[in-house]
Order: sequence, then structure tokens, then C-alpha cells
Amino acid sequence: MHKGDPARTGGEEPKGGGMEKTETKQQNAVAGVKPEKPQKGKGVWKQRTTYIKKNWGMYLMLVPGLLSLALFTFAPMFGLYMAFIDYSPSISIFESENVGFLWFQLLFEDPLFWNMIKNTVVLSTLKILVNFPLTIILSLLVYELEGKVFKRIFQSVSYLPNFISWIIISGMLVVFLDADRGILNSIITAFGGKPVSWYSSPDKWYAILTITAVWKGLGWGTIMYIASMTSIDPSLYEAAKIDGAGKLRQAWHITLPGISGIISITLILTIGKIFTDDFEQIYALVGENGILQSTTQVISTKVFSVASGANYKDYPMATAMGLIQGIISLILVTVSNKVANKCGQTGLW
Amino acid sequence: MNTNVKKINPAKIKHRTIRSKKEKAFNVCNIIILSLLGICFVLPYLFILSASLMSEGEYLARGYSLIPYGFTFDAYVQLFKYDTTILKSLGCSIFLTVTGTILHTSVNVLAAYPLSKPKFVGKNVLMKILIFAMLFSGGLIPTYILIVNMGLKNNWLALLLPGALSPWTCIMIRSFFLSVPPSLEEAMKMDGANNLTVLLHVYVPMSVPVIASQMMFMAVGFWSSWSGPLLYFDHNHRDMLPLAAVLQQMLQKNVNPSGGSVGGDYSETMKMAMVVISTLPVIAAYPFMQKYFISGMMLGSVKE
Repeated sequence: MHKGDPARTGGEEPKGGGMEKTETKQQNAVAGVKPEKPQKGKGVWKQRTTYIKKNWGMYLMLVPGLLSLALFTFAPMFGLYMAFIDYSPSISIFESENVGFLWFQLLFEDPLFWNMIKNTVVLSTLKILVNFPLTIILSLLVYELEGKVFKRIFQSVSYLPNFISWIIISGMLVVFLDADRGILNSIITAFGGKPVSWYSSPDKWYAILTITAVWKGLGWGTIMYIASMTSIDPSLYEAAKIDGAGKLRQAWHITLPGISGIISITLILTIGKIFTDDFEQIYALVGENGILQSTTQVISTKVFSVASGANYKDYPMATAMGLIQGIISLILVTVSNKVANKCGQTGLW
Repeated sequence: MNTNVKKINPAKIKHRTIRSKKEKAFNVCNIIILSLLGICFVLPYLFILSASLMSEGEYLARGYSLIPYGFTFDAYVQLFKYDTTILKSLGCSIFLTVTGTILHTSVNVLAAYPLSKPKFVGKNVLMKILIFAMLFSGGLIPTYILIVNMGLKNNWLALLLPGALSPWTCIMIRSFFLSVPPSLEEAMKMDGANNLTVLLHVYVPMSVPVIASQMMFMAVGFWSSWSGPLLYFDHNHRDMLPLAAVLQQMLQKNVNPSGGSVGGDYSETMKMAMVVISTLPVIAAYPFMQKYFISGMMLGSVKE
């Protein structure tokens, strides 16, 4: 490997499979865990300092990224303390009065907060229930498609919505949902129905948000599946055909088992995100529309309203909301990733 | 890593020469179903395009339609005449997209290089930090207050600096760097080249697909960013808003009929013209972006 690496010449040379292990041990030492044999530790430290001295340029490369991370990702984490204080912009948050878990208590007693959680979970679940099977079915159809040109065109068209921002989709949705001149209402009235004022009917919005999410993500979701379908051994299909299996049976017995790994990992990881809401989608499509709140308000949109509003009194409450969501999401994603790894699949990390 | 995607072998693609009647029927049905679905994907674009080309009178009389009755470019002309800041916001969008993409790409590529070195001291800790940063954050309010306290309100830096290092992007580029054979690097280092030279002359050229795909996602992200600008630029700095944010303001009256007061008096055809203008660059760049889709979709690549 890196023959010219100064660290190599400095000390012991771990070989082959042993390398990973040695490395982990060294890193543990950096992280503050005591190395197993302290008398050896000194040598390791010396080796490490030599490495850093010789490769200071590489450490310099990390500076801009780590600076941005420290300032804008990790520093705000200290600001989470705001969820426990009586905030006033004139004094530092660490000098403000600590109110303990008051904001959390108030939140848990607030039906509006529970409604936001309900909306988040219902929307995520609906999106999974509709999108997940549809994506697999669409992948199967595209995979079975003969005729390269049509296939290419269809794939291009179906991937495009993924790159279209929610604000633009919001403009498109107005075309369909406008109460007076929208397409949907023209169709409804053409069939003798009564026009619906979509932007003031909260009960319609679980469906609208699910459908728009499917429109945006469906085609893009097929990429992974189709890619992994192409790696299925074609001789399996030949054999199945000789046995007289039709397309449906081929799909059920060959294609689906062939991509079961990627299906399960995608499902697990998607379920892990069930508590994460889609701010971009909801805020772009309904903005500050108060009438729709009962089905469209989620934690992230509420927090954004507070941040862009003028009332700093709400800051601690909004921070507490964000913290609750952040912690539950963190736990769920970590657990789902663990499960994916346990299943013999590759998780995200 | 990356096993699911890279295995595509052209020789393996099925050749089905024997086709039964049943199979033919299936294929026809398949094409019909997918064509219908394809139409669903395309229709919204056609509707906004058509609406933007309608004359105001025809729009008021007929409502939205696929046929641009009273075909005219009035809406586009009006848009730029009525609101002189639109041209400026177009400039802001371009500035934000170009600067942001270049800055973030450089930061991520620079950080990915040392992390791809197996012997790099501190690598494992840094990787853990990156993954944690990917999963948890301080949330919007603390970040907002911090940025305001740093004096970055109404400053482009409020949009450019946060998130310059994206853990996901960095790890993706890093995993590509891991597969670069070390022999070239060794030869260059023998000739006295430093790490930066090696990165720019060996690693970057060999990782064009992944870097290009990440740049493409970044560029699309910056082009369509609106929540950041709306949050960090106040009412007195409306001329700094990029297109997407202006569009968000324009549509407020449509999506919030009861209380939308922001966003000026634009006619519906002008709004649709604005939607078309914001969509056009993405669609124009789309054929070039397609090349890099697959490499941008590597799942499970975080693992070594």
C-alpha cells in the first residue's frame, strides 16, 4: 500500500487483516479510550505525532469543512439549552432563568403539538404505504419493457420530477386546485359535481400531500431497484421460460427474490425516517395557511413560522419541539440502521 | 460497497428472442400503462407552460387549459416590466448557485481526501463526527439565532457557509477516493509532489462521475432554495431574494386564500411565467445531468 508513507517507516508494520484492528485501537486512543497496553502507548503517540507533522497539509485540507461543521452544526447544539430557559434576546441564554422541563410539559399538554406529531406519522405512513409498493411495481414494469427508446424516454421523464423543487410543484398544484379556474374543479363541474375549495378543506390534504410526494419521488425510487434487477442472472429466466412460467410468475419467483435484499433495506431505512417530516413539501404547498393546519401542520413548519416570525417568546417552545423530534428521529434512524446491518444488509453506515 | 449499482454488465442484459403471443400482449399492455403514467408525469409542465402563454382575458374566461388560447408572451414581458427586481433575483439565483456549488464542492473534496487515507490519524473519530452530524442538529431556532448573532443576517454568507461540509457528500466522494489505486500517487510523491497536487491531478480526475453528480445535486439545491433566503433576508432586502424565494412569495395568495398578504399583485399568467422561468434551467441542464445519475445513487457506500 502506501510505501512512502512516513508513518509506515516510523514503527511496526501491520499486515493484511491485522491492519484494521490496529487502526481501530489507535483511534480509540485518540477518542480518549485507554489503549490496552499503556507502555506501548507512548510509541504509538510518537508515531502519530510524526505522522501529523509530516502530513500537516492534509490536516489543513480539513480545516474549512470542520470549521463550517463546528460553527453551524455543532455550535447550535449548545443552543438547544434554549429549550430549558425563559428566553430573552437581550441577555445570553446561559445567563437566563432555567425553567427546567416547563416547555416540554406545556407541549405534552398541548393538543396542537400532538396533532403535529399525528400529522407527521400519518403522512410518513401514507407515503410509505402508497409509494413503496408502487415503486416496486413500476420497477418491474420498466424492467420488463422491450424497446430501448421508449424505455429511455420513460425513465428520463419519470426521474425529472425529483429535480423539480417543491415551490415549482406548488405552482403546478395551483393549476389543478385553484377553486375557480383549476383543472380538477372544471372536471368535477363537467360531471355535474360541486366545485371543491381545496385550499380550505383540510380533510383533502393527507391525500394531496401523499399524491404529490408520489409524483415527485416515484420514478426516482425505481433507479435502485432497476439497477439491482439488471444484475440478476439471465439464465434463471430462460430456465423459468422452459418450465412454462409466465411473466407474472417470473417476476414473483425470480425478479422479486433477486432484489429482496435491496427491498428490505430500503423499507427498513424508510421506516426509520417515519418521524422526519417534509418541511420543503408542506411549507411550499400550503405556506402559512391556517385553515389547513389540522392536517398539514408539522413540527418543522411550525418551527419555521416561529423563526421567521417576530415573536421571540415562542423560541424556547419551538426549540423544545425541534429537540423532541430530533432525538426521536436520531433513535429511530440509528435503530433502523442497526437492524439493516443485522439483517446482513449494508446499512447507511 | 456499491455492489448493487456497479454490477451492470451489458453482456448480461437479457436477449429474449423467442416471444409468445402472450408476451407480446403483455408488452403492449405494459407500454400503454407506462405511457399513461408518463403523461401524468409530463402534464403539469404542459399546463404551466400553456398558462404562461395565455392572454390574461382568455385565462379569466376559460381558466387553465392545455391549449394556450390567445397565445402571447405578454405575461413574460409584464413580469419583467412590472417588477424590476425579477431580473435582479435571476442574477441572485445564478450567483448563489454558482458560488455555492463551487464552494461546497471544494470544501467536500478537500475534506474527503485525508479521510480516504487508511493511515490518516484521527480518521475514525472524524468519520464518527461526520455521521453524527448527518443524524442530529441543533435545529432551526438555535442555528438562526447563532447566525443572526454572528451578524450574518442579510448577508450571502448566511446561505453559503452553513452546511459547506455535507457529511453525505463528503463520505460519498471519500468512498470513491478509496478505490483510486495508490500506485499513481506514490509515483507522484516520489517526484516530490505534495498532497494538494496529488488530489488535483490524480484523485479529482479519476472521480469525475461522483463529483459531477454531487455538484449537480448541490446546484439543483441552491437553485431551488427559498426557505433560507426568506429566513435570513428581511423585508428591506427583498432584492436579494433568489427566484425560488420570490416565487414562494408570489404564490402565497394562492395557497393561503384566507390570509395571504405578502407578495404583490401578480396576475396568474405572470405567476405561471415565473414558474416556467424557474423550471427552465433545470430542464435545460437535465439531459447533461442524466449521465451522472447512477453514480449519485450509491446506497451503502458509507461503509468501507
